[in-house]
Amino acid sequence: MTRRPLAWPALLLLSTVAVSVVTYARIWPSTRPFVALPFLVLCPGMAWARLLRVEPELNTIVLAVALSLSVDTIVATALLYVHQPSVQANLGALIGITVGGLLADPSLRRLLTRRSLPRPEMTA
Amino acid sequence: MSSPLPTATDHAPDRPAVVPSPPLRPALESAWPALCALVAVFCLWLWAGAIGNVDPRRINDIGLASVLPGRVLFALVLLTASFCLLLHRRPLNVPVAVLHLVILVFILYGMTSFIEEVPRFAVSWRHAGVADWLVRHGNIDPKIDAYFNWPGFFALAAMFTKLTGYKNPISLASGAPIYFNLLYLGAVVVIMRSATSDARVVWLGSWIFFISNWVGQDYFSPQALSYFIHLMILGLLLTWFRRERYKSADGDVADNALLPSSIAWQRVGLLAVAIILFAAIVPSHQLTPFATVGSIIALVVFRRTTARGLYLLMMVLLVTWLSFAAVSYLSGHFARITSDVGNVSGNATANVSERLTGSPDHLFVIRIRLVMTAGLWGLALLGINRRLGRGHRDLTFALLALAPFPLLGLQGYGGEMLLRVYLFSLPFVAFFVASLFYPSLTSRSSWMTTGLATLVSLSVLGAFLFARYGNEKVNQFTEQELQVVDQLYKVAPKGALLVAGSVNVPWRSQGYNDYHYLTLTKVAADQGERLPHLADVLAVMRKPRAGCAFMILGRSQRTYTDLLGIWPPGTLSRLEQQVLSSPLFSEVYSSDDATIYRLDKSVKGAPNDSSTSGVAGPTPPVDCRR
Repeated sequence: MTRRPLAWPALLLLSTVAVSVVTYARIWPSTRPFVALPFLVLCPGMAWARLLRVEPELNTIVLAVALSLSVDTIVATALLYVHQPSVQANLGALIGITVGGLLADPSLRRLLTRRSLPRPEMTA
Repeated sequence: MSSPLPTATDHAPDRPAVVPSPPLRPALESAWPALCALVAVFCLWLWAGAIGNVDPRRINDIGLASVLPGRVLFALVLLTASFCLLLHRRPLNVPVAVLHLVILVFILYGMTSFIEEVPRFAVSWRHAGVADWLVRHGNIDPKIDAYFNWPGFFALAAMFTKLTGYKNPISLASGAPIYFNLLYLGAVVVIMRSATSDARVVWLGSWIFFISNWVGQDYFSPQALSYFIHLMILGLLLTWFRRERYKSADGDVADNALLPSSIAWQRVGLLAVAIILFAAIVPSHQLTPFATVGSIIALVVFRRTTARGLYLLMMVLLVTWLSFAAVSYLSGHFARITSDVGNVSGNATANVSERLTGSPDHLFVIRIRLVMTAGLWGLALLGINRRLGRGHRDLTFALLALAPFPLLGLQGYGGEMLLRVYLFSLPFVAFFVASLFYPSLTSRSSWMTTGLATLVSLSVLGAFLFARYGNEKVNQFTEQELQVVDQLYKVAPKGALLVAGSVNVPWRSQGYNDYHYLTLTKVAADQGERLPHLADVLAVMRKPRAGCAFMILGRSQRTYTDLLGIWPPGTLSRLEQQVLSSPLFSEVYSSDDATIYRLDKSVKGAPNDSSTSGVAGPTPPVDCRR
């Protein structure tokens, strides 16, 4: 399967932004289940599972879902034990994990660095 | 940048090309998968149109099968035939196979969500109550009960509830069998693909997994989530940490899945993932971590995995949790938990013969379950035999099919251990059953094979409908029962004693620990009686510490005790008649399906009055009305 290096990061970032908006800014509360569930089920795990570069992509997706649900469980349980059960704390931790995974992707970093470099001047 | 990490089957050298099926007419050849896909979608449409007309109140003692319309059954037969015909053509069209599996999951596991008025299973409501308690209180009190010593799943459900904005975690329960089984689909495919590159076995094995998973542990529960994670841990080890020492005659199984040293960091990453997955099931479920560690130990002992130290890390996690986080439960129940250790025959008896009770129709359902289980294991043995004949030695899968059985020596698990053993071994058993039809990569898909696969699938599917949904008359609840339970929480002040006829009540989804809950089955057991007596119930309800006391009796409780043979049929109805005629009880609220009674403690001289029986001292009148 052909890998599109920006497809998953873009999707993960979009989902993270969407869930942040509906949760922190409390905009469009009726959309919360449709925005929060995909984020919780896929994003924290996919951000890190991609880094393992396993084939085929189906394996990456199943691994990502299992990892997401596991990370969600661990974060939710740990925050309950330390008496920090708020929505903001839970979501903040998961967003941190997702963004951390995205930042840890070397190919993405390289891609971003290359794009930010100034274009060489054309010579006649 | 390292290359993508290959799967085990990607390493298989000299793999022979898939033998294509004999050509059909060109037009039919190209249209074959599309035709199968159309048939599958038609089956879903047929099912969706018929399932909404089912009246769940007409379900009798043989369960959901008694009310399923002919169109639903026809849809299942057609879907099965379409799937087996799809397998007949090589190479297999995988997206169409996935479509069939997804539709199968919707049809088989979504039926009750579409038929029944409210989420099924009393225990789902209790689980929602634990999560609701965590949402409201925001901390964990391990002294409440066992659930609060393994709170992982409930913490997750609480987080999902808060983030989605649902009012109560029970909103997550109605679709639970569908979404858990879709998760299992991914994990089972990963497992199957680790053993063979024959797509027919992978997808037929997955199909057999779903038509034979009758044990019903996929409701809103910790074990449902933990099972998915358990499967994924095994899938991960089988795919990327597998150690094969032979190559089969047809080159099917990878002979070397040891990863090259250049991608060692990927192995470390995958091991870290395995640890994280395990760290999520340790605080979520009591049994699953033992099944996972047991399976991994079996792989290590027989040198089937390269991750030889993983089980040690897992055991450290497990022991740490049991020693610190779950200690308040274990310290109070240690003797009870360990009393069954080593008592294999006693545990097996508790799992089989003690369940052979209930109405004649229910006994028929239990026998179908036993026959289906034995039949499936028998087919798996035949599959192993055929694979052996073709030069395959699937020791890894055979080990994983057997690894859960030692759990029977640990505990009876409330009479459910054999069910769990069946569930943990099911993916591997399903693989061998599928291998019976396609024993090797080079075996051709004859019409005879396709016909036999269809017949066996239909037989298993037929048994599944009775085995899985045979208790549906008990498991379902109605809107009216739920309305009465809601009313109970409105009239009963916090701290009141709430008594029900049996455990089969959709209560505790709110006020989980705000009330004292009691069932007549427990009262009778505590008194050493086989049947409940009103005098015993009154004695408990009139104790001063009980404060206000309410009793809820209704349809689902009567069905539970009658159908499962807890008491002779009609026992609970007769007790309800006594309650109705007693001056001590007044009716608070009633619907067609359930009634709430309040105990009036101010009435004196009634049978077994606490002031004369010596069971409890005189109780001042208490106003239980809010």
